[in-house]
Amino acid sequence: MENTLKAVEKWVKSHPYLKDIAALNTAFEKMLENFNVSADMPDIKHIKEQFIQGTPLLLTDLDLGIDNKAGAVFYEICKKGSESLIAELPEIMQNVLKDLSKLSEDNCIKIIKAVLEGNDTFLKEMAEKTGAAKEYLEYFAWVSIKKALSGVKAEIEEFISENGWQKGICPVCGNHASTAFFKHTKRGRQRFLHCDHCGTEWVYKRIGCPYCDNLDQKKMSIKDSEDEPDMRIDLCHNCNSYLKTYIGEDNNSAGKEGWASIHLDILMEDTGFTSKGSLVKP
Amino acid sequence: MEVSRRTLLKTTAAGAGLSLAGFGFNIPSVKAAVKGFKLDDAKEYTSICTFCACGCGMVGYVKEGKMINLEGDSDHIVNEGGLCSKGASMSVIPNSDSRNLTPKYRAPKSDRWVDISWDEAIDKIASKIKQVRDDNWIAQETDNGKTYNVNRCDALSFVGGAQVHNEECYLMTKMTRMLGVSFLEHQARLCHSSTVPALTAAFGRGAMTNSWQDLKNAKAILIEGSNAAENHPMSAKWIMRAKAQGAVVIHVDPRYTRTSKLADIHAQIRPGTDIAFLGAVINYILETESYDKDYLLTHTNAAVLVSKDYDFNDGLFSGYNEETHSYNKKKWAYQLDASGKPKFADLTHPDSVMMKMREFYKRYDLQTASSITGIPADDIKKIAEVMINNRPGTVMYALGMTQHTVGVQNIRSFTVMQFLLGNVGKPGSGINALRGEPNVQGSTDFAVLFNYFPGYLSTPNHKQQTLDEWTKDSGTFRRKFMVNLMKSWFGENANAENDFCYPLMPKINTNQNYSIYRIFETALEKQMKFLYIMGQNPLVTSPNLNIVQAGLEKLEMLVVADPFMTETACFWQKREGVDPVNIDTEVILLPAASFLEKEGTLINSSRLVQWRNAGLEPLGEAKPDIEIIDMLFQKIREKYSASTEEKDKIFKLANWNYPADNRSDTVLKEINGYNIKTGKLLNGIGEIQADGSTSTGCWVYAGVYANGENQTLRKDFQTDPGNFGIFPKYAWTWPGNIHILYNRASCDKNGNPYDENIKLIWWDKNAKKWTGYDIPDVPAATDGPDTANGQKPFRMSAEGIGRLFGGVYADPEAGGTLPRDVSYVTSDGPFPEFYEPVESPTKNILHENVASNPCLIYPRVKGFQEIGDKKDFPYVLCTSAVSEHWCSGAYTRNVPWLNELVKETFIEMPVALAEKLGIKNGEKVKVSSARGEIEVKAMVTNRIHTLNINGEECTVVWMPYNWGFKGLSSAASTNLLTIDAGDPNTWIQETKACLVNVVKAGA
Repeated sequence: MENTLKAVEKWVKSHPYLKDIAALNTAFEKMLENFNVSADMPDIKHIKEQFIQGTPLLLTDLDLGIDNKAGAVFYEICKKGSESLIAELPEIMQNVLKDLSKLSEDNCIKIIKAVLEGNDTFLKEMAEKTGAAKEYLEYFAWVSIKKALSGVKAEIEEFISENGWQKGICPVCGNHASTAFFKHTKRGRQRFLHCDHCGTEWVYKRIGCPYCDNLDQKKMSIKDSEDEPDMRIDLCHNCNSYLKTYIGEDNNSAGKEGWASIHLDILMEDTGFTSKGSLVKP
Repeated sequence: MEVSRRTLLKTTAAGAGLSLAGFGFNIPSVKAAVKGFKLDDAKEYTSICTFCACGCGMVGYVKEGKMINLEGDSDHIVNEGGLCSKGASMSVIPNSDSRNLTPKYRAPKSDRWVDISWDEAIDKIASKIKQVRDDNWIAQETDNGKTYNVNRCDALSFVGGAQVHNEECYLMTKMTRMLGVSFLEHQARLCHSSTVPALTAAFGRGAMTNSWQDLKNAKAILIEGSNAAENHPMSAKWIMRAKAQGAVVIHVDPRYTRTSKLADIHAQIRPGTDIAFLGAVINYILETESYDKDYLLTHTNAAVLVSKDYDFNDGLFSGYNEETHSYNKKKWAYQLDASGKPKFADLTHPDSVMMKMREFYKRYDLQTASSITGIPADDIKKIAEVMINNRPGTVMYALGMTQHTVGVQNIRSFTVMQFLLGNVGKPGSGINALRGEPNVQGSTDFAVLFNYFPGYLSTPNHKQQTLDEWTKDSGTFRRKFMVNLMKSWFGENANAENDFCYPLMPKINTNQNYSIYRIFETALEKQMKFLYIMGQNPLVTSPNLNIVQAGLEKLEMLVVADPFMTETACFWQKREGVDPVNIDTEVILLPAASFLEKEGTLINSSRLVQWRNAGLEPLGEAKPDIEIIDMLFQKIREKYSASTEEKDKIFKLANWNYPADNRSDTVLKEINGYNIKTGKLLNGIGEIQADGSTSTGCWVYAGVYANGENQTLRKDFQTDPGNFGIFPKYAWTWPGNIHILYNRASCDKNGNPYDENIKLIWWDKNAKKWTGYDIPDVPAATDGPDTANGQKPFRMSAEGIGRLFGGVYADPEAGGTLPRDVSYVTSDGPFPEFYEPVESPTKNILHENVASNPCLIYPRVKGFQEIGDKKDFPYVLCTSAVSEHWCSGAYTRNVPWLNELVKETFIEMPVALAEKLGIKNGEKVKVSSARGEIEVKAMVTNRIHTLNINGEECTVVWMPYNWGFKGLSSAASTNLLTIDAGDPNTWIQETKACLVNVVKAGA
């Protein structure tokens, strides 16, 4: 957690206008600082073939127990919802968290399950019941899933690396990649994709659109800015999508997270290009 | 848990995400904070390095039309994100002040350039080509009283190149053959021309058998005639992976270099004696019976019976004609059965290839080889044992093996050794010819060489007036590729009635040599009038530079297309021995785009065809070579449009129409080929028809555009079934995406892998087809081991099996009069025999009366080609390149920091010699040969020891050849010293071994 807070702090220092939005992340980190995340990794070999065929891990037969684990995280958030940790958050959000403070752990687990299954009906029911909009339930659910997976993130990413995932969708949860970043590895400066939803990171082609598999470099371009030296925006003129890419040297930078470049989403409004895979948008 | 597919799609919807504004965050304040942010346009693109044939991937970042960054492509399967010092420095090139920006003209006797327009330049060149062609057209020739139609102009020559794309090479070949040109040459002649015939004679194909990545699979790596760590830097990555698995690395070289440093065994060898060394290794394998018997019986001609006409005695094979310095190769045939097929016996039959080979090699005992080479006998034995005991083993070689008057036979020695050890067709085995230029494999594939047509078809000669006559010497198997080539070149104008326009093609005279060396020699003979050079610099890289200079001075016009001002383009400029007032040559300089400024395909040494993108506009008025060639041909065609002469009708029949905005892709499709009836692109070689219903510009590339998709764009760097480094979905490899050639030979007679641990391909009994981790190299995937096709691991040789004995054989066509296929036979023997270099410090102890290659004809030009004697020139000079500079230095000597690393020519000499001559490190010395003299600094090292050769001391010295008088760093050219005596098969020069003298400057 300390690393995350430091990374956020460092990012806010160079992007002071994101201070309030950064608080969204730091609040949850502090809420969950004493929460013990399971590092138990079940045997994964039996689903290898499914994975190689292109099925994200959460959609395979792998039993990570994610419903219960993420549900427990969600419950923790709900319990801490009325505490002073959320004082920096906007009032709307504070009210939502207060509304959720009455949720039982069992319902939290059910919400997680519903989010992963795309069960809109249940989510709408819960939204009505709690007074918190469906989108907020989904957001907190993903924050919880990400936290729950953090204990086995390294093992999962090793498995992904060994078995070669070449898609632009997340190899764990199946969402579109939200951002990209460069990292120095044994292969020079490799490009990785980042999933805002579950936090997974995986290597991807150095050049190419993760959304439509376009490899035609004539149909790609980049926007960069001296005003934002840590980021660039990769555009695909084939599917008219854009991908925010962290180009700095800090492997732990908060710049990899979608919220940290929300200002670029603002600049890309009305350009005809859209982003995909974001957990948050302006 | 189970989550439905519907769920997956739902969660990946575009535009999803929680609105932060909805959450109550003050988004307007963020908007206000970044209101003034300016977003600039930029782009990133991939290219391929322009130096050695590792084919390293690069990623360039461009902004406002300028290159901002260049780095290694992390996705690339060879360099994996790394770049060597040369590659990493190339970001300088698009921004260099030394670039040629406008076309220039030098008038006769002038001492300066003047700028001209492109239109003027192209018009001048086209006019000159037309004038020379019209004035020097050879419609017919007479030979032995018979008249032949030859359609040639021997006063026009075109050179280059290995620096340009496949599409550019293809168009160059197409254009020049339409013009009737036979003097069509490029860098390969000087570097790896010996590779193609050597490997073809043994295997049927003349290319690197395995790949860079495959090196990691070897248990033994013999690096000979190569400084791979310095000149193919990325190969070291893969060698080290092999070492990490316990592989033993052997380096055989005249010096101790960075490659020697990573080797486990280094053997210092006298330049030019590799056949003796390898002969001893081969003899050791034979005498200890360490060969792979099953492999020999199943996959080679070891048990085939040799004709009773074959003999070898005292340095000569049977059939030698002293007057013509040539052999009647028919003496080297097989014994044939009634159907015309070779007779097989066993390995002990006295007429068998095996027994003939044992007889041949018994002279190469360890001690004899040691006397000749300078390598201690124990070391030769040790190396032989390493190769025997660590299989599969592979061989890596470069110009240290090719650039000799026995270059072809040097490489043939490798093939004999590797066959004996069963080291061909398996992962970690093979013969890895380390090509030296970014696209020299491609320029060879596309036949920018006088003796080939695209796809290694033999150039038609004057005795082959019809397609049938050509087929008689080449085989019906290859006839269809010639038909398809003609269909590409002439479209519907080529048909069965007119022999597919074959009669229009120029026919070389079999008695003539049209190599690059002869371009300058025929200029002196007042025959050659015009030379066009594309991305090559002969006035630095050719041997015996005095003859090059003299030849250039006799031309009527020289055209050079290059990104930089080269020595060749400026040959007329005033300097010692050269006065422009005496030179009448018109010179036109065309500014060519650099490799970072144009798109197209190129192919690395391991046959990987990759696409280069153009991320930058060419600098100034520079143009890509493909555009230049297109403009030139169209202008020439225009000038001939009104002609009704027979020789000019070819221009009306030519299929030449390329869109300006998509030339490279269009040409690549033409190369791939079409089904003419359906208009669809061919999916592979198997779809090529003999009846004119298909077309392909180069048959080995059929399939590069399979399924209508450019296969060279593929970038799957993760899928590697079997973990052999094959990466079948990364770019595309010829032929048919086969990565390890001859992989059928990795299986026994029944189609089972010899070694289950490294099984690569196999016969699947259930599926009834060949399958595996690589595309099986078999004639038909469904023809099993119980069929004739299932037993042809070397299916591109006429026999279908490997040729230890490279004799004459034409495989009969069932029911036909023309042969199905004809094996290639080298000029100088069916087995590799050791001969001394032309300039040798010693006698030939195997046969003193036949000291050097008996097929060699040298000198060719009196007054320019003296042969030095050891009494005047007592030291052996070996030349090659430094890691920091490349070939002529036209690129690298325009990069400041590379010049800082190594700034000038020097001579490396051993301490013992320096002490004898009183020379200190860094002092100036004069180095002279029978051809010239230069002054350079001495680098005194312990890296070369004095050798004991036939009981006498022999000193070897070494010099890099990368300098000339242009560029940011200029220095004396080493090739003023080197000898242009050439291998009789390919004429490749003996730049690795000549004699020099060294004295202190001022002494």
